Parts: sequence; structure tokens; C-alpha cells
Amino acid sequence: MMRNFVLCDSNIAGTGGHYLEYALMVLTAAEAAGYRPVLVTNKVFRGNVPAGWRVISVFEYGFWGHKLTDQAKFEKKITVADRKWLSRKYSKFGLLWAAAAKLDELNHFSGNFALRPRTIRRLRRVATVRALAQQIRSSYPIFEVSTNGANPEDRELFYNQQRGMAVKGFNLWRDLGETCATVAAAAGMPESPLVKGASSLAALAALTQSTVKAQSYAQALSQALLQIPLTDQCQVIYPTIAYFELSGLAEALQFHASFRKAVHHIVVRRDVYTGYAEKFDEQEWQAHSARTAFALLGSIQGARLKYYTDTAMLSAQYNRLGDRDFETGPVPVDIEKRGARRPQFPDGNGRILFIHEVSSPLEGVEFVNGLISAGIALVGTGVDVSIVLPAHILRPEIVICPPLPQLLAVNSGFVRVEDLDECDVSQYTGIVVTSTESRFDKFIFDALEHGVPIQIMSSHPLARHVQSITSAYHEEKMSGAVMLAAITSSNSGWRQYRYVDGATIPAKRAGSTLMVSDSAATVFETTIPSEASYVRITCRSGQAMHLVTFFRSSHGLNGEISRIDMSCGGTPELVSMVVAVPEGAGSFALSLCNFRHSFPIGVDEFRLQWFNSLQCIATTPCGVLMPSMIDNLEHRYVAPLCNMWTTLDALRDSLRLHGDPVEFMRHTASGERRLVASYLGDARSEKGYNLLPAIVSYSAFVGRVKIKAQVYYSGDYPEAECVRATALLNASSRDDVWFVKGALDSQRYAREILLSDVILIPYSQNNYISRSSGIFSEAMAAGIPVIVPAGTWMSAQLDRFTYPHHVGLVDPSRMEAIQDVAVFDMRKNEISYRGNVPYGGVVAVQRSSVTFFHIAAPAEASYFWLTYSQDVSKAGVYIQFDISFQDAMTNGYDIRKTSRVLGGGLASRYSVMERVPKGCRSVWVGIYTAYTNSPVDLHNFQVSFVNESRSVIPQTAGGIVYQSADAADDRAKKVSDALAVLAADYEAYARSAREVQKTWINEHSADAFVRMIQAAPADDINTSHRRFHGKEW
Amino acid sequence: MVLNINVYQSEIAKSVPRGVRIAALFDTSFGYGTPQLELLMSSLAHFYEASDCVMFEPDVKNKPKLRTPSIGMRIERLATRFPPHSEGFHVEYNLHLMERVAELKPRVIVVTSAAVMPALIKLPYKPDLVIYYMLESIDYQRKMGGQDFVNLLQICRSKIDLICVPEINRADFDLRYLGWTDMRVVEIFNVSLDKYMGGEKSSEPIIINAGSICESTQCDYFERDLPVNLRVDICGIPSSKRMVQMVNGFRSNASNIRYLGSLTMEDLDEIYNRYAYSICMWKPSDINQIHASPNKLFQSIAHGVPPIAAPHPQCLRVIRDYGCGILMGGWSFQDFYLALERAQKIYGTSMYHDMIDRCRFATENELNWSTQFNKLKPHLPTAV
Repeated sequence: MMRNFVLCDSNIAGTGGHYLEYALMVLTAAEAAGYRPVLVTNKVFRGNVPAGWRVISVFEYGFWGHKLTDQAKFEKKITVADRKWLSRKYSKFGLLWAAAAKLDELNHFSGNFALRPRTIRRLRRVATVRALAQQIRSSYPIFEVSTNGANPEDRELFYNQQRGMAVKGFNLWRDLGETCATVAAAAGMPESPLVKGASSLAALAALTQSTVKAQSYAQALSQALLQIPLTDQCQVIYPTIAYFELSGLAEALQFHASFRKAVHHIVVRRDVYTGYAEKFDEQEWQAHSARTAFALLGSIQGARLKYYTDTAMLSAQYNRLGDRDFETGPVPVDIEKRGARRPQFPDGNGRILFIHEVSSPLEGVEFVNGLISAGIALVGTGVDVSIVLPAHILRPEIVICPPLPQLLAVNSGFVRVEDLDECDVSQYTGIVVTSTESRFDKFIFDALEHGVPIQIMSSHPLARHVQSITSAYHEEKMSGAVMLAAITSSNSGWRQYRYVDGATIPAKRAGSTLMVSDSAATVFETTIPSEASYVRITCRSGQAMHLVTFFRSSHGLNGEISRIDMSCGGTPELVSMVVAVPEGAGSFALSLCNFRHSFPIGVDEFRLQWFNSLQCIATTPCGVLMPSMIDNLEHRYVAPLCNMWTTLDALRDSLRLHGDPVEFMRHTASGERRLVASYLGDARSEKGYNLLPAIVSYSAFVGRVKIKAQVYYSGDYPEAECVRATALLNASSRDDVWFVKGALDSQRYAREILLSDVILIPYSQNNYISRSSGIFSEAMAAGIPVIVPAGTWMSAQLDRFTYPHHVGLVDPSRMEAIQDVAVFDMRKNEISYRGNVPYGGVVAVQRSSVTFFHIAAPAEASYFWLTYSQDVSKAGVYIQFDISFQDAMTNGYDIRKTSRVLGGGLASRYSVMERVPKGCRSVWVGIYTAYTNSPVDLHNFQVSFVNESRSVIPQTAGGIVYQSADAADDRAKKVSDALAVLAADYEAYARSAREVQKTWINEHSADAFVRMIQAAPADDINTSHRRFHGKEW
Repeated sequence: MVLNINVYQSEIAKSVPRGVRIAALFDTSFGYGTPQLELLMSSLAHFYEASDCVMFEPDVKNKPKLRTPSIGMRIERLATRFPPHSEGFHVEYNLHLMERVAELKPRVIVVTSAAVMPALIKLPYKPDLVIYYMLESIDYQRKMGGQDFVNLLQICRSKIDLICVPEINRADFDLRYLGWTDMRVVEIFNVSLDKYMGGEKSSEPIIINAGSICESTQCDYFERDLPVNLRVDICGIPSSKRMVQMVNGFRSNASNIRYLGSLTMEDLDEIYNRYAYSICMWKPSDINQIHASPNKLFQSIAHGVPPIAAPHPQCLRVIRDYGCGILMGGWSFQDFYLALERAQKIYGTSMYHDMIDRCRFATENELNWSTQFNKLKPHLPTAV
């Protein structure tokens, strides 16, 4: 018998989202464990699942009890039901029916202009019927339909509800007879005390609506599960479930014995209690319904139910309910698998997108004219030139400027950089970005992501990565090549061509180093071996230089048939360049130029190799690097473009292996490129989306970070403050903001995470004290630093990894332990000496008074380090440290003040590591419990100074914990400050995140979750003693 | 994402005979805030050389002034026992409209909201062209008519050939919600003038705030301390007790803020161009307000009065493109204050005069009705 693994989630709708991600991960793991995956989703689900999976789309309502909007396309037609409704409503009867609801108004506005007798007779009857119908409706509340009306079935349901009430009213009117009905109806008239009292029926309406939803869930679930053969080997998992859904599940289990064969796994991921544990006792009233729900569910005879949460804090909350145990499961992630690069390598439309920024429209016109003169129209099949104007250029200046030249092959236009937000790079065959400004990096990453060759300046920060992989790429492509001839720097053919008089003199050397003067080009000319298909040039130069290769015709003509310019050197890496020998080439010349320095620069390990290879080899992998040391438009832009066209196949081939933009990002994060801090997920204020404009404005000050914001509103209508945030972000410079628009499918979502340097989690602390976060888990699994609020499950996770990380970084020989710390208490400015705490002693901390100490800092100290352990019984307690670095031990001024909050009970040992600022001579540390009043002892309390100037030690492993704040502006500032700290020492944080990555993946794999689900329960879930018993009414 | 009208193929009938009758079905009275509808009808009448151009309107309370239509146009005001906008009115008005429209048999029809859709659906024939001039958001229409109105829009979908919207970002939300992303949409700015009407400025910079005086236009900011010596004239109807109290406070001589009362469009037109700046801002409390499409922004620019505007996307786009006003950094009082300070500082300088020149340029080049209607022309079936 096939073992089914059924995942039921009413929130899975549309094409993407975290709910679907979760399901895909868990079902994939289940499939690997030998189960047959079955996904039961909302009716409107339209996404894709792997082949062979069964999908049953049945649920009507999502977690929040809203009927999810169906974005499916429905036929644009007027249905029979529509016509009937229109005929009823927009008729004389319809008018009377509408009037019957507002008789007072009708009377008032009609004045003495009387209705006709026939009309008033009919109105009296209709008013009676409507009043009766109204009473029936008040007594039997119905579920209110609120949809986008696109689905004709939804409309019909709505019409039927309206008509049903009228028919019931009419039937009652008929049964009672006119006189009785009129009397009865009077009770239902708006002014009747009965109707006024009917507001108490609102509660009944709410109960009814809840029942309608629960019924809907029960029916849908039954419909789905009846289609699946369920055995005791089958697992049914509910990864998130609302209380009305629990009620529906209870009903389904009650009525279908076959459902009780499978084990049902209920995962809850929302809080039962709010805030921290010490406030839970006072919330028992609000937790009552949760306790009853689980008690009633657990009382179903023969039902096999297991319960989970995904954080230890949540489990602690649910276990307070006191019935069955809730186990803590992982927050499943498989970012590496889902985020594997799958570029499309599109052929493109045969056109090149050329993006060039100018400072004025006239400059743009001159530039395009220059490109045309340089022969750009002859390159490939066409170029779309986007001339990007800065924001300060106004439309009047554009209008009065001569138009941009247009040719069949050259289509040019003025744009602003934000106009390119929607640009689909994948439709192009190649992309040229001439600017090195970070606002254009998006197009380069997009091109690489799709597998489109790029052409960027050699001075572009991303070009560094190309340069660093070029030599290895050439080595790899040259394996099996036939080597024909080689030339080195010692060859006598080297000459210098003096710029001032054109004289040719012997080249200068210092030992084996070829010296390239600033006043002459160092050149070498040679004939081409007959079999040669490529030439490779390699050398090493610590200084930047310009290198030119020329091929001349074999027919004795002087003209060049091909020329490639390259800016190279300036790094310790080997310069490597491979150029294909053009057809008809007879001789070859090479010129090394020193345009940057007023002194001769040395070139070592020069080697020129002629070889024959059948492989397509590009000059540089992934794209073409434009020389940055010359201004000539032909050689700077057009000739490289020719090179791109002629080596298109080789470039595409190189993109397969070397073009992953994630690699580009990882290898250039510490360079001049701005870091990309991503906000990914629903645009909701609970998640801090509304803070992004403020964060951007602060980060702009930092200047090292840009925000990548996903603009995705999951509801039908988004929150106003999020729309406002989008409007402000749209108004921001593209140096500071990038957009990812709309919903993302599983792979794209994972890619966007990987294509980030930092993941921003500016969540509201109160909502995430105990709850997990999918994006946090994914970032941790991707080894990308995060920025998270203090006092949450997320911060507790980072604290867990921090002490071991610090221990690994601190050299004990560079550590000075403070053996004895004099500790004081401060309450309302009254200070009392508590005593000396030895190294490794115990410090008692509470909220009502600040425990503090003040110690001298050694002059050579670079870090202040404080570590301790916390009582296991005080798991939910967080400790705040206010630290002040002062310039003297007595009467010192604060050089820097900072606050840190650690805790949450997940770490066995906590570590506060703070950099000591220059000039610091003493450190004052105040300690108290944050958020809660519970006193707590800090055990094995150790204070040290570390003299570590060789490497940076991050505050926290895996990212930065910012101190939460209630006010939005304050929170934005805190997040922004955290971003600044992280950006300043990015490499250290990235390293720490990579260190944490492996552990996280192991702990939070979907496989681990499936294993947990499969494990036999500790006690028999059918017979074990239960504390609570409930019985449904 | 902005909808790109160019990707949609025209499915509209290839031509409309010259001399057709055209009609606009409106659910509120003309002449109170939406001059574009009248301009659109006038332009359509001209484009199709219409033999008759009728605009149907209900008898709205508090809007009693019967507007004199432009030459070649008629306004028919339909009387109903129920005044707008109850359910009874809605049914009665549509029953009445159905009869009048069926009698008139217009070949080109402009509808403005779900409130008049029944009259369109019940027509016994298919007009050659139906334009839905989507002036109100779906959210607002749902508030007015509940699920009925949303259903009416969907039922009408097959009858609508073209949608005109004053603000594309807001329309984007609505069209996505309705699932109408495959429909042809043209953004027509809420401009109301066809030519520039700049005038002499006073030596002192006086700022005008015209329109509804309410919290949702952030008029409560005028209760707070504004930059020293800043003079503001406010006109419009105060919408709440608090606002009435506020404007009453402005009647004292000590205040730098003057309340001019409620002015007609004509009165306002007469004095508008004397002002140094005008204020355009709405409290960003919902999608409608954030994506506001303000008549007064364009009115102000056309009068050579640089607007001081909050960063509503359309205001931002216009002011950034033309440099014809001052853009606030956000919606807060601090943003407002800084913008006023800047306005004071540059008044009378070459920077200010450049701004006025750009108001003229913007009006003459784009922000005039003819240019806006030209955006619609390529999507209209030709007149034969």
C-alpha cells in the first residue's frame, strides 16, 4: 500500500509565497523518505509542483478567515444568473424593495407628492415582506460574501443569498396572511425596539460566520481526504492552522473513521500568549479558547494527533495549556537546492542594450553621434541605447535639445534610471553598462542571472571578479590545445615607441622585468604561426596599465583588421587575455602603455602563446571588459562590442560555469560595491516594510548600503502605510533602492535571498518574541548576515552561536582577564557598593536597580569582552548591558555609548564583545533585566580586555541584533545604525554567518522534520493519559 | 508596475460613423470637481462630430447650481424621489437612465462608476464604443454600493472597450484586484485648462490652499506654528467642527492665515495666479489618498503658481519632470514646514522665476487638455 504524506494548508494560493515554500520543502523530503506527496491547498492555488505530486485544491478560506481572491481568468460574459438578478433588482419591484428599507426617507423626500394608489399598495406588501425577511436574516445570520466578483459562481452565491432572504420573507408573509404578517413585520421595522435590541445578535452573527468557515474547512478537508487512501502508515500534516480550521478538522475526524487511521500532525506557529513569560499568568482568559480547542480535538476517540511548534519559546507557551506535549520542530530550509542557479541563456532579440549615463541631454546627443561615427551601427544586428539622464535634468531641457539620432540599427532614447526598473534584460542578446555607479549594478546582476553576456568597464567593482577568474578559465579552456609558439619578456623583439617623436628605441628591462615607461609604448611585433587560432597573453603587474593587441592583414596592407584594448594589472593576480586570430591576419602587434603613472612600471612573467584549439574561448569569461584608460569611443565601447559579438558563443558558454551572480556578489562584497541589504517577503507593517524609507535615508548617509525591497502586497488591498512607503521608496535614488516587484516563485525567492549581502528583518519585536521567521531561517542557511530585533527568538538564535564564535577568534595570549570587579547597585541615583565579584563569579541582576561596575581599560585594549551563563529556569529573560567607554577613570567623558541586549535561554553561554574606541581609558557597564522584572543570576561572570588588532571580531555571530523600539522612527534608526555597524566590518560578519550556516542547515532541514514526524511517539498517542477531556456540544 | 497600454491589441470596432450621438452617464452632478468629464465629452463630440452629446446627471443635494454646458452639449438632470446616494436612489436613477438612454440610442457611451452600469448593461444594443472613465477607486465604490457594485463592474466587463484613469498607480491596484489586467488603459491627468493663465505676483509671497478644508487634506497643519511671516490664504468648506473652529480663529487680525470662505471655480480662477504658491497634499491614509490625482495640482501649474506638494506619486512625477514646484520630503509636518521655508527663501529669486517659466512650459507641452486627449486618440475607433 502506498504511504501518503498529505500536507494541508488553506493559505497556499496563487503562485508563490512562504506557505508554498514550506510545503514544497517538506513534501520533497517526504518523497525522499518514500512517501507519495499530496498537497491540499486553497481553491485558488495556481502554482506548480514537481511532477508526480498530487494536488487537491479545495479550501475556500485562508488562515485569517478571508476568502482568498481568485486571480484566475474567468470568461467575460453576462451569465443567466446575472441577467435574472439585474431583472429583479432593476425593476419596479426592485425599486419598491429598495424603498422598503428606507420608508422614512421616502416619506420625507416625497413630501406630499403622493405615490399612486397601486404603487402604495404594492409598497405596503413589499415593505412587509422585506421587514419579515430582515427579521429572518437577523435571526439567522449568514456569511457575508466579499469578493472581487470575477468568478460567476461567487456572484451567483451572492444573488442567491439576497433572493433566499426575500423568498423566506415572502413565504412567511403568505403563511401568516396579510394581517398577521403586517403585525409581525412591525416588529422588524427599523424603529422597533426588537430591532434595536438585535445588535446583540452581532455575537450570534460572529459565531455563525465562524461556523460557516469551520464547516467549509471540514467539507473541503473531507472532500480531499476521501480521495486519498489513508492507512496507519500515512501522515497528514497541517503546517499552520487557524482555530476555525481546528474545529473543522475535529468535525472531519469525528465523522470519518477512515481519517483516524492516519497520524495527523498539527503545527502551530502563532503565539497563544503575548509578551514574555512573566506576563502569561494574567492572560489565561484569552488562552482559554486555545486550551478548549486542543482539549476537544484530543478527545476524539481513536484520532491520532501529534502537535508541534517551530520554536522552543512557542512550545513552552503551548505546553502551558497542559494537555499533550508540543514538540519543537525545525523551520525547514533548503535554500541551496532551491536557489541553485538555473539561467535560461536566452538567445535574446539579437539586440544589445546599451546603458550610458550623461550629465546633460546635449552630451547624450553627442555621445550617440560619436557611437554612430565609431561604427556602432555595423555591430551585430542592432543596439538599443538608453541614455540615462540624472534626476535634476528637467523635461524642458530635453524638449529643447536636438533629438537623439536614430538609425535602423541604433535605437536611442532618453530615460531616467527609474524608468529602467521594469526593463527585462533577458530579452536582449547582450548588455553594455558604461557607468561604474552602483545604481546600474542591478542590470549587470540581472543579465548574469539570465545568462546574458555583459560588457562593463574594467574599473567596475564587479570586473574584479571577472579578472580574478580569467586565468583559470583560460587554463581550463586551453586543456588539449596545441601549443605552437611562445614569446617572453626576454625576447629581443621588444621595442619602445616614443610618443613625443615617434622614435623606436630598445625596450628597457630591470632583470627579467619589462619596464613600461610613461612616455613611450612598449611594443612587440611578430608574425602569426600558420596554424594558430588563438593567442594568449599573460603577465603580472602591480600597477594598472593599458594593453593593446593589433592584428594586421596578411596581404601586406598596413591597416588593422582587429584591435582589442584592455586595462589590466594593479593587482597581484596574473593578467590573462586570449584573443582569436581573425581570418586573413598575417601579423600581430602588442603594445603595453603606462597612462597612469609618472614612473616606469614593471611587467613580470610576460608570456605570449600561440595555440590552436577547437574550443570557443572568450577574451574574458562572462563578458567583455571595456578599457577605462582611453577615451576614444571606438576603442572604448565599439571595439569591445565587436569582440562581444564575435565571441558570443564562447561568452554564453563561460556564463554557464562562471556567471553565477551570487559568486560575483560574494567575491566583491568587501570592495567598492555597495552592499545589498534585502527586505524580502510580504510588504506588511508588522514586518517593518513601512520603515524602509527611513532606513534608506539613514543608510544613504552611510553610503555603503542599498536596500533591495520586494514590493508584494499579499492581500487584496495593502496597508496604507506600506503603499506610502512604496511611494517614498520610488522617489528615492536608485543608488539607495532596488525593487523586486510582485510575488516570487520558489526558485526566484531563494535566488533573491542568495543575491543579497544582508537580510533585513525589521520586524516588530512584540510579534516575534516567540515566533519563528522563514526568511531568518533561510538567511542563516544561506550564510548571509541578518539584522534582527533584540528580545526575539531570532536574536536568541544569534546569541546561541556568538560565544563559540568569539572563543574561536580570541587568542588567549592576547586576552587580559579582570580578576576582580567591584560591583555596585544604583536605584534612583542612590549608589550602594555590593561587593567584589571575582573572575567567574556570580552577579545578580534585576530590573528595578542597575547593577554596574566601572573598570580601567588597558591602553592597548581593542575589545571589551564580557561573558556569562544564565539560569536555565530563566530561559525567557533578556539582559541589557549599557556600556560607556570613557576617556579617563575619574571624571571621564563618554567617548562612545552603546547598549546590548542578550538572552532568550537558547545559549549555554553569552558573550558581549565591544570594540574599544581610541583614547578609551575606562569602561562603565550597567546591567539589568530587559523587558521583564524577574531577577536573574549571571553565572561564571567574566570580564576581559582583548588586544586583537589583526582581525575584526563581530558583536554577534551571523549578524547584528538591534535594540527594538516601539516608535517607527526609532526602530528605523536602530536598524539603520545596525546596518552601518555591519557594513563597516562586513567581512567579519559574513565570515561568522558562513560559520553558522552548516549547523543551521543540519538543524533545520526538511528531512529532519520528516524524520521527526515519522518517529514513533514517546507514548501511544491513542491511549496515553490525558489531563484534559472535552466533549463537543 | 505601470500598465503598458501599448501591449494590448485593439479590439474596438474599426470605425464609428461621424455624427453619432454620444452620452455620459454620471452618478453625481457636473461642475463640482470633475471638469475633465465635460472636457472629455466635448472632445469626443468634436472627434466624432457628434449630432448630440448628452450628459446625464442626478439631482444631487447641495449641488444645486445647474451648470451651463459648453456649446454642442446638453445636460439632462434626472429627478428621483430618493436623492443620491441611497440604494433606492440607485435603482430609481438607473431605471430612469435606462429609459432615457434607450430612447437616445447613443453609439458612444462614457460611464463613470458602477452606480450607472445597470443602465449600460440593460441597453438592447451594443454601443460602438464604451469608455469607463474610472474616477473612483473600487474601494470607494464598494463603500458606496457594497458587493452589488463590485459585481456590476464584473458584469459590465464585456461591454467596456477602454478605461481612462486619472492616476495609473491607483488604477493598477484596482485593475489587479478586479483581474482586469488585460484591459486597455489610458492615463489622462486631471488637467482642466487648455492654456497657461499666469499673472502678476505680489511682492510678498502669499500661499493659497484651496479645496476641502479637512484633516484628510492635512489642513490641521495650519493649526501649528508655521514659518515666521508666512502668509496663507485658505478657501473652501471646512468639513468638521475642528476645522470650523480653526478657520474661525483665522478671522483675527493677528493671524497670518486668512480664510476667504468658499469660492466658486470662477472666483478662484480670477485670483489664483496672483499667489506665490499653492498647497497640494492629502493625508496618506489610504491608497486613494496616497495616489491622489489632484485637480488643483494642474490648476495651480496652469495658473503659473508653483505647487508645494507632498510626494504623491503623480505630484512627484510632474514636479520632478518639470521642476515646476516644491516637493515635500514626506507627509509629516516637519516635511511641510521645511518645504514652506524653502518656498519663502526662494520667492522672487531667479530660481522662483524659472519655476514659473516651467509651469508655463509644462502647461503648454503636456499639462493641457488637448495633449491629454491626444493620449486617448490612438485608442479611439476612427470617425468615418
